[in-house]
Amino acid sequence: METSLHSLLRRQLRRHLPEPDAVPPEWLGFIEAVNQAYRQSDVDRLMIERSLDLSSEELSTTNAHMRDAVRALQQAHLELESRVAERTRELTEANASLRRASAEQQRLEEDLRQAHKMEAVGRLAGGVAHDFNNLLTVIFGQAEGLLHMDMSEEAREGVREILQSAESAAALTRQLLAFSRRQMLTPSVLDLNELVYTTSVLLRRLVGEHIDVTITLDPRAGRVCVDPGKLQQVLLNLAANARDAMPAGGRLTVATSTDVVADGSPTLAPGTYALVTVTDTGVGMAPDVQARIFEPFFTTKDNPHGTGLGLATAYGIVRQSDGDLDVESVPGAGATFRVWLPQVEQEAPVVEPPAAAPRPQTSGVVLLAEDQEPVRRTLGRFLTHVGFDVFDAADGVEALALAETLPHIDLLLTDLVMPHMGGRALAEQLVERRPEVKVIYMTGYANDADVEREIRDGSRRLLHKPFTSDVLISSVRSLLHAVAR
Amino acid sequence: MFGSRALLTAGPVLAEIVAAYPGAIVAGCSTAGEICGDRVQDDTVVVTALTWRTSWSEVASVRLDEAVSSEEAGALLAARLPGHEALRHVIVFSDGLHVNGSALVQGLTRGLPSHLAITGGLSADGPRFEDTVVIVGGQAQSRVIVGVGLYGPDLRIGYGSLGGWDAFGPVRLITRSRGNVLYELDGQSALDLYKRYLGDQAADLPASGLLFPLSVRTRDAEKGVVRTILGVSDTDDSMTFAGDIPEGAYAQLMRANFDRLIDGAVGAARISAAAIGSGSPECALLISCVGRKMVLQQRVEEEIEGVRDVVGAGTVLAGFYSYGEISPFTPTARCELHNQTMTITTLSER
Repeated sequence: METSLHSLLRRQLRRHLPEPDAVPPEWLGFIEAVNQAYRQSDVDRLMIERSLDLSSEELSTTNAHMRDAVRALQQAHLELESRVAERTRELTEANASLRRASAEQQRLEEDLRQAHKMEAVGRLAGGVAHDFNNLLTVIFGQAEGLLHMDMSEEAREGVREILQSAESAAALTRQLLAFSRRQMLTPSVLDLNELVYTTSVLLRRLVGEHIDVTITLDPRAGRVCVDPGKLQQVLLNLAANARDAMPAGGRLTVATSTDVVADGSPTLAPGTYALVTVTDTGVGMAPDVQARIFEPFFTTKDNPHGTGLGLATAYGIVRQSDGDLDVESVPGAGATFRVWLPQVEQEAPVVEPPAAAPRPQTSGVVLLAEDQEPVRRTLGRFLTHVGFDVFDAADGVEALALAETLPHIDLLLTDLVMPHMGGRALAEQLVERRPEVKVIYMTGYANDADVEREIRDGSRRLLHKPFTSDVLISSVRSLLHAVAR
Repeated sequence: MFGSRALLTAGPVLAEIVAAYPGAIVAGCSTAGEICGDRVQDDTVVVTALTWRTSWSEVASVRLDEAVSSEEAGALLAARLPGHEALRHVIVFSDGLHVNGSALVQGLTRGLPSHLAITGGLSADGPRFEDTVVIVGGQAQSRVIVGVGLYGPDLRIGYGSLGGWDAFGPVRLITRSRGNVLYELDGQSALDLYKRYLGDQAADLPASGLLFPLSVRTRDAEKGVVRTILGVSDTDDSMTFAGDIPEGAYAQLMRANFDRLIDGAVGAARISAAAIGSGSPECALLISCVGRKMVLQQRVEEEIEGVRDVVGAGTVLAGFYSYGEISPFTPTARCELHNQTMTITTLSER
């Protein structure tokens, strides 16, 4: 029995029994039960220790896996946050782009409204100028006629004042015509930088010494096809406006560059443009002022000499030259005017010296067509007075009928706009029948491309109303002389 | 009548008992230990004779080959018990190795009135897990389920079931199983895991597997159920449990805590006795898991003594160690198959 006894039980039996081998038989069952309990206790303890070891190991491994998983999760979370941030940034940019596009669309719509408004104001101004020019032609003619009459010196002085006022009025109507894009332009291909540089001398004188002038010329600005005198006028008008915005001095910067205009501009055809920017550091202007700055007679200046036509004239010239003029400004932070002009590829022509002055011709037959009776009468008198034979008619139809009765006609002097038949149709039909007849058109305004081409050919002339008798007679004589040669 | 398979299937004992109680319903099963009074014994037969003053009982049985599944067998047994309107309680003894206890309970529950409680257990075969028998019709038969219906308004019946095991180690996902057969936990062989934990005792599988019952909890359940091993197969690396092991549920190994096992038995007795009302029950049917007996060894009778302390000296105690227990945890709970519990049904008649 002793060999199968639990070691602890064996020791206990030896210690507590004087003779372990002498265990009473009736105790053997009891001792066996105790022995089994001891052994079971060992098995249970081993099982618990084993379970503890294994589960600890498993939990430790699981824990490590979980830590790895948490790290991977954190990494995934970071990547997700990064992607969310990236996507948010993209969406923000898309949103901003959309807002910019929307703002650009609004700006284009505003530009279109502004262009329509300026067009309407231009038509009104042109119409007024036309009627004024007819009236001024009569005033000039009649006043000049008076000067040839016998009168007191006081009366003569009064007539001179009438003529001076009429001259001022004529200057105003010229500006109105310029704004309404109905003035006569003589465009030529020129180097924009050269013109700006040349103008800068005048410009510095105009703005005064209290304003620093900086001229920055970009060679890429290239060539444009414009009336050089008119473009010079544009730059001087912009400079004068800048000067008035900087009464205490400042800086005026005139710079050239290029710009590419895409589809969608309400005022400009797509293409490459030369750009002139005129920037001042003056008082600037509010948006409501910017919206009206190019309207004729709109002015914020206290200057009593200002007419409110300087920027309107500049606008008309630029627009008539297929360009555009706009302004950007912030109150208190100056203003920038930008002039776009279409770039051209062709070379600037070589300027030829003017021909010798013609000898005037002082006689001939003139067919005069003019619907305004006072004007017709005044002009007839001018020409008759210096020796021409004048036959007049009130419109083109009447003039053609009259021509049938005349054996010879040297020159047709005709208004462009008349009832029944206008000046151009009259000229066409008359010249077809009598090719030797020369033509002088008269107009309160003129922007007819065909007329301009005829004028450039040299075969016909155009007189802008109002004009003095000297201008009329000189034009008639020189045309007839040129023909005679 | 409960006894070792050998005594019930061979020798004259069963025939003598049947002959001694002519006209009586004789029901019972083979065990992994018999409870007789305060004692736990092996390789004996314990017989308890119940007589009723006004109540009565009926018996029904089902052979497993009569049904396509354990659930169908349960439903068939329920249908065979007569007089459902007067039925107060059903005590079930089932084959312990070829039945999915969870499915059996579902079938019984489906076939009986919803208010009716079912208690009972799966028959056992000591630590051998070779064959179990159920006593029905005066014979001990394999692959049979017997149900004893108790009828009468004067019956007072209580029941309770508690375990006392502690879950330990990692919570594992059941990644491969079918019905009550488990293959993989966390993608690893479940059988290998058990062998690792059992060490040398792995040689005694499936009996030694009772030392580590499995706590199984479905994803949406707050509380797990305890499942104990009925068999293992090295051929397909599987383990068969007494109840369902659903794939996708969580599982955790459990281990015994002596004091808590005893406390569990006492708790079950208190719940069951309280349901009877005042006074001691006349009889208490004790069905305890074979796993508890394996762990408690010589101390196994302490859980019987704990029950005795609750019910009092006048109550007749009888029962057996099983391969699975059937009862609600409490009188208000749903009937379920349990493992590793002490399940007590107390009986009295007014």
